[in-house]
Amino acid sequence: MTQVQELQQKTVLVIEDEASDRFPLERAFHQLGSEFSLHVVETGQAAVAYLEGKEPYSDRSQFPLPNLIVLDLRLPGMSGLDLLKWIRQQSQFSDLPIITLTAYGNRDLPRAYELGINFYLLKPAEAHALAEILEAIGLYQK
Amino acid sequence: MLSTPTPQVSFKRRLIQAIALPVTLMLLLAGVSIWQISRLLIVMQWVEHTDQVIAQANRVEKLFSEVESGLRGYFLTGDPELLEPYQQAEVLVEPSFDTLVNLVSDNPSQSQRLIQIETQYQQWSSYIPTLVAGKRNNEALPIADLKKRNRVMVAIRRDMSQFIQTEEQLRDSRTKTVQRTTQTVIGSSITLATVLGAILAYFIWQQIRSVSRIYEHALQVAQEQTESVQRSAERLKILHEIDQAILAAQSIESLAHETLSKLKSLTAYKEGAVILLKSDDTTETQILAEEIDTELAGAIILMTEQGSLNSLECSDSLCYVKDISTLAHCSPALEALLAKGYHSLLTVPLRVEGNSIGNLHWFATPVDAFNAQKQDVFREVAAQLAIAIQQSRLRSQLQKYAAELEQRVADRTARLQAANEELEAFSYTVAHDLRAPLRGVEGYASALIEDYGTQLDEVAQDYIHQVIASIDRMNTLVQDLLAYSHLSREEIKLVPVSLTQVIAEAQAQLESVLKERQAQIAVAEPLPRVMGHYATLVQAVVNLLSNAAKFTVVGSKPQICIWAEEKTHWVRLWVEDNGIGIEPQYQQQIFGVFERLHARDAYPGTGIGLAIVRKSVERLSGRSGVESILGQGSRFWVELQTVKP
Repeated sequence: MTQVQELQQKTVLVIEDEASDRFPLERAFHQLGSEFSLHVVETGQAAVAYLEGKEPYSDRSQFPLPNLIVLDLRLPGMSGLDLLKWIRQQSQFSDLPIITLTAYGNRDLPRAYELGINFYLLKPAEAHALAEILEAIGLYQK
Repeated sequence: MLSTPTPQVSFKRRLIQAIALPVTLMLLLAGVSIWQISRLLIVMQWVEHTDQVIAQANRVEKLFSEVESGLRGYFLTGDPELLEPYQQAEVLVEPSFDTLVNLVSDNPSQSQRLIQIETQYQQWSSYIPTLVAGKRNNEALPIADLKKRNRVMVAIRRDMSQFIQTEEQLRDSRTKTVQRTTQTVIGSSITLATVLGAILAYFIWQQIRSVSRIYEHALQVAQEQTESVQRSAERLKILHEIDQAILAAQSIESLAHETLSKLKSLTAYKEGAVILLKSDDTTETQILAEEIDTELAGAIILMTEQGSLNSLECSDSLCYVKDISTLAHCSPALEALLAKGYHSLLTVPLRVEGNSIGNLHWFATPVDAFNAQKQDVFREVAAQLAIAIQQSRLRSQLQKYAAELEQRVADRTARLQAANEELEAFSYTVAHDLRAPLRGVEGYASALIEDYGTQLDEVAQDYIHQVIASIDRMNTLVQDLLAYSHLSREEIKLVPVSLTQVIAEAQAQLESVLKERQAQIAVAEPLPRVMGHYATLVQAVVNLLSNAAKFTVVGSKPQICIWAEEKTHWVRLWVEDNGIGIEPQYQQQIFGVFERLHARDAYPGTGIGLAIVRKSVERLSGRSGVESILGQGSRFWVELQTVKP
């Protein structure tokens, strides 16, 4: 891994409450390389706090703004769709790439596309599928 | 009406008679007149003839005078010049006399007289030549001859004047005859004309009288008919109005009130009325509508319930009392009616299918107020009213049932909807939350074999692979079950769908599987359009195709034929394979949920595919089925509605 690549560290904000779903995702990112720095929150409210830079995420050197968001649509409390809507309403995040993490047959997917997701990734997350999506977004090259 | 069977013939005869008799009488009158006028003309001719004779006789007499006076002058003077008038007249005497003779040839006595005169004249003439010759010679004329000649001339004159006198008498008598005849003609003509006129007048009078009798009779018949038509039209109008009121009425009460008020318009005098109705389930009688005071109505109820009416004179369809005061036994109600001034009472029962459901009582102040025609109207109205009441009762009963049923359906629908929503939430939970731990197991098992595979022996690796395979199967099962339950709940609207597109989409979805199994698919293009739902139809065909590609004979490649059979109302889509086939006893079973005929190892799957096919097609108002021979392949079919042009 070169110096240049290390400098281009990419921050990914993962919003997922299920550990069993997080594990394959983290593993997939890990398999693609070390340039992805994953920050995980478990609720919509925590994600809003992170993005607004509120406590405990006020330190941007420790919690930088993300290059990519991976979002589970089924979240406890504030739902994935509500969070998605909120993010897209913030002008600074209107172009931020968002991938939803979803199980097969999720009926909220069409609505999620309407609200502005870029891609969806089927659970359990697999490295090759993730690589295709990241390539399409321009965050990864084989 | 004319009494003769053939009025045209009679009319023709009458017309001929009416013309023939006057014509005959006129001809008769004309004939008689002509005959009388010709008779008059003849008589008048005779008078004229006599005039001619007299004129001619006078002329002859004058000639005689001139001859005589000429001669006398000559004889006195002897001057031959004076002989000239004699010579001139003497020439004319002969022809004039002949003319006279001819004129009286029809009268023998006058002719005889003329012959005598002629003889005398010839005798007179015979003297002339001798006397003239003697004078010329200046001889003395014999006096005797002169005297003779003179006597003859006197005789001639006397006879002539007698002749004329006779003719004048004749003329007078003939003139009288003319007068008489004229009077007769006038008299008889007047008489005849009067008689004929009288006959004619009598005849015409008779004709006119008979025609006017017929006319009056016809007029009377026409008037009677018009009146009867008007009466029945009026009756029909009232009945029609009552009908309309019955149809428009909202309740039995308004129905009865409308009927009473319409019936009242039939008569002018003071009347009272009450309609009584027996209750549906009790023996109680109630007042449905009344046009009298309530107390009296109560009394009438009592009278009806006690059966007092039975003692009255009643026919099948109604009771009629012409005059209440003449009844031997009066119930209190009847007495009360009488006290109010009512005399006539008409009671008509309201009957439905032979059962009396009530009564229409009608009373009027005059005695015998209801003639047969009015009774008919009341009878008809009562019949209609009874039917309308019955219908109204049935209708409200039906409305009650319908409302109950509607409520029950609404309740059940609400319960079903709630259950459906619950089921959907449950399915969603199954799909996502129950599969979450499964995904965990899968993720960790995959990580284990990938990251630590080298540290495990073959048996341990095989165990992990079995875990992963089980998770796969569980996932597929849940997915299929979810798809099946979703199929039952989804709202489907039928629209025209192209089967060609459906087949192409299904093939695209199964591309990898079909390629892997080296399936050959032949589609008999063109395929028609059907009434369906695109996604649902694709789902069904995907399952049929994967089924056809799956159950192959070991060692052979799947060959699949697809074609459509078009009929008037439906299209049958066939999917034929060269697979293992199905035994007849299992051909229905395979369409059930989780029904499998073979070990999972031989043919993988959840056993829900054909159940999805059947359910999909049922949701599209179609049917599904299979024809198959074991070992020779199967033909599955789905039947769908054709697109109506």
